[in-house]
Amino acid sequence: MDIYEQIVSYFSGIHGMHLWEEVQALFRRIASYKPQHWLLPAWACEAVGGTPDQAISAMVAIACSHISVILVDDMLDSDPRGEYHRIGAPAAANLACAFQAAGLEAIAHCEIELGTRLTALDSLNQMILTTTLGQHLDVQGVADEASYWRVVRTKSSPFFGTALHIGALLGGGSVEIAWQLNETGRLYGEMIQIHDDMNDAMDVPANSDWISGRSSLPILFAQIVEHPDRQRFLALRQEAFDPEKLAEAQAILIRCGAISYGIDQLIRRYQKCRKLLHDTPLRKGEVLEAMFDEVIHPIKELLSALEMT
Amino acid sequence: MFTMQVFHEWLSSAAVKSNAYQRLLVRLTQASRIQILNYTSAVQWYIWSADKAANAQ
Repeated sequence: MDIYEQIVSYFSGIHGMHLWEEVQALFRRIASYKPQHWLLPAWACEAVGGTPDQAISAMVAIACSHISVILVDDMLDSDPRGEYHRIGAPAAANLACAFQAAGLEAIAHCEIELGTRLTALDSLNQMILTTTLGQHLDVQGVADEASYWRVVRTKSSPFFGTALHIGALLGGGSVEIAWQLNETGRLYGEMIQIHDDMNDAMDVPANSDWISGRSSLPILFAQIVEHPDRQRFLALRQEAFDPEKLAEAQAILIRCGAISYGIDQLIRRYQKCRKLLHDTPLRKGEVLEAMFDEVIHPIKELLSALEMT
Repeated sequence: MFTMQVFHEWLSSAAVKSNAYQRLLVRLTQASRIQILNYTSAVQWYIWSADKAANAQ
């Protein structure tokens, strides 16, 4: 049985799930995509000397939280791919609540010592609460740099922090090591959000961020920093649905330093994470190092290609 | 705090010429959109999107 089948099997065994076919069907469908996010606890578990089997309940908890956040986030963003288009917003909201509770159940009934279980439950619940706050803040809109980073630190990074935190706890890692991995995971989450923003800003046709008014990191940079093309960029943003205007606006993002800023922010976090991992006594730290290298490797390739031109 | 505005001024200053990393960040401002997209599409992680993650695989 592969790891995703084990996750589905554990999820199906959560009390009450057998009564709810829609919840199980959605879980199975998303599991079939094999989301990498769900494996984060297993990697942390291995890093502290455990085996992926020990982290199954943590992976189920993270999978449930992941689905719950996506269900709600798609509605808040009016994402055309959202499940709510298929089943309706009331049902999607209700499913999101079910997944939140199921995730907590997955940890509440796992076979680990009570104190560790409570710590893992608290981490999971804190993450849900903070992420919900982040979604609320994101809906209010990001007008400046401080509010952008606040949204990232509430909406995006706690999920990754808790995923590593509870994986480490279930793998037998000490409370201190698990907290260090929580911090590392948060930085990783910030890196993924920065990367996601750069990808969305450069995508064609125009990503919904251009039209909706949501400011991703590069767009925010080009809007608030005093640079020669700022006024032109502000005008172009309103017409980003036009391919020519979008191409001109994206060229400004590169020229004004918005992409350089994103790359610099990624590299700074990567260096912090490397130091954190280096200072954390892990049995198999290379598992987590590989996770970070996956994000930083394409940047190194890009920079070395530029170096040769 | 290294704010966006401070970063922009730092990147635009003559001092960047003395540092190889800073020079690369300056060179990045002359990159093409395709070069940037090639980089971003090489990372298979996405925030809050199961479909995007699935399509990338």
